[in-house]
Amino acid sequence: MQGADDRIIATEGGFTPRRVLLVLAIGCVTAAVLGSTPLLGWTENLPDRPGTALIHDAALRWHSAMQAVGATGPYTWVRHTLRAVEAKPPG
Amino acid sequence: MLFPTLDFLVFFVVVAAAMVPLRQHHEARKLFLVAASYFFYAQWNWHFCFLLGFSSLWTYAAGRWIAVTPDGRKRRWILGMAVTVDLLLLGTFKYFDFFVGSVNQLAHALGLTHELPFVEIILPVGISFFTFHAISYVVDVYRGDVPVCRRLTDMLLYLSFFPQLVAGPIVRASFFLPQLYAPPRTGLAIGPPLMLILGGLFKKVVMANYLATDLVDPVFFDPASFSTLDLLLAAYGYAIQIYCDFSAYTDMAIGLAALLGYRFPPNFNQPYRSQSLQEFWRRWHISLSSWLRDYLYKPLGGSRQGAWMTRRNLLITMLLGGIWHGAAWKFVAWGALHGAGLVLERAVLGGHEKRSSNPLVRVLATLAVFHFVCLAWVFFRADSFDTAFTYLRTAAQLTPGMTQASPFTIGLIVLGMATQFVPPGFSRRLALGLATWPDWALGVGASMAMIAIDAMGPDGVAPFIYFQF
Repeated sequence: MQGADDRIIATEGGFTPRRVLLVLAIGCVTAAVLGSTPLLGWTENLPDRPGTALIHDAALRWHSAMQAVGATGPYTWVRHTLRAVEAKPPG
Repeated sequence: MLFPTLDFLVFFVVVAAAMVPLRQHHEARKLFLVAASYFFYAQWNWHFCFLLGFSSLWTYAAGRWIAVTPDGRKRRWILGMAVTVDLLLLGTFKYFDFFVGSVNQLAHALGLTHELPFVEIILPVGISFFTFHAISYVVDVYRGDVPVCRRLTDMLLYLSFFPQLVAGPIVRASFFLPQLYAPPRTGLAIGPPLMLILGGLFKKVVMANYLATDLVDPVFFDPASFSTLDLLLAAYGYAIQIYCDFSAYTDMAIGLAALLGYRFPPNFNQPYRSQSLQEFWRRWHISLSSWLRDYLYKPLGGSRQGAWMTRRNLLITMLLGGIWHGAAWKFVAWGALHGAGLVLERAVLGGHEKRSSNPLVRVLATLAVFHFVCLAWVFFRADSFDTAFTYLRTAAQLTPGMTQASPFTIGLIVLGMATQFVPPGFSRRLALGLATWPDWALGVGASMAMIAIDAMGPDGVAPFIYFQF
């Protein structure tokens, strides 16, 4: 939050491109599970090209499956909670 | 393609995946990064890839020409030509219509009826940044501060590297080019760059976006309709919004570059805790203020030629720094205010900053600097001079009440200010803690944070403020 300090980046820790990719891949899988709502929204805004409908259908089925297992709950809860805080009237 | 979007995440995962097989092939790796950067830039307007390519080729050729020319006068001439072409490109694309508009206004005021035609040139995203990269390179080669770049790929990548291409930080050739001459550094921790990226996402998606939509935009749209307290809070809100917006971009740029094995210099360092304007400019947009210092203020003579010349040099530097931000008189006014403030501060404090040992004086100095910066932001943010003066006039009327600022937006302002006073070692300690996390925990943790930030943010992603510069 306080801005990038060069020493933050210089922390030692065994970085390799393979490890970066592994972390990103694990992150993407987690995001697909917990973030099926924004994923679906993203596919709805994709430009109209061949294959877009297929991607959207797949995202829709995936979102339904995640809803069924309750994985969309945390996203919805955070969204509604912050909207409720935001909606408190001025003054 | 904005950083806080799924499009960018897909793009970055593809780039990171390509880095794995290319790890042992240094030149192919750089070529791939050039291609990826041009693809990234083409997402705005592919026509401008030719402009970026031309700027890179011209800068590369000028550097090589300077390096092989022993005659001092001829070297100066080449440098002058190289910088002139760079500034002509910037001037044409960014300032031509502003120039035409200003000339027409002057002609109208003088009673002349003939008007120069507008061309309505589209501003290429990031042109101010890559032009300053190009100028710093040729000047540094001329001064002998950086060895000439011998590979065209390195120059193409230096000017186009996608994390910094559209909104900085302005990375000096002497800082970045040596990183391209050897394979990128490995062995660093992944957690700290992820922390910067997530912190940047939070600042942009939650803090900057909500402050803009819930407070700053409505108040600046029609300032005459709001109370003094709303106007004051909107000015504070804009100070936090622009800090969160711009520092978010550069934090993400630094983090993304680090994940690819490259380092960028820091660009912000808690600017609103400054106790003088000089200190503010050492903490705000550090890469621009140090660029202006080294390539404009010092060549003008800096503070070496007496008090009056120092004042003149400060004013010229800040005026040009103001107009760098955009082709409008309000940016000139913003630069002029900061220039005048710096001159006044030097006159009062002398050339050397004196930090008081009295805590009360330090608090008062911080408050004074912050409010001066907020006053200047009013001109920066307002659509026109008229709006800015209406804003200040209405604020001075001391109208009671508060209709726009809410507990939520006030909370965001307080949070934004609190980050300015976090002890300097806090982020470092956090980074050291993250460095010990296993890969799976980093992936899951970063992803959960990213989804939470997306859930918290308003719908849609507003462009970064500094994209227009």
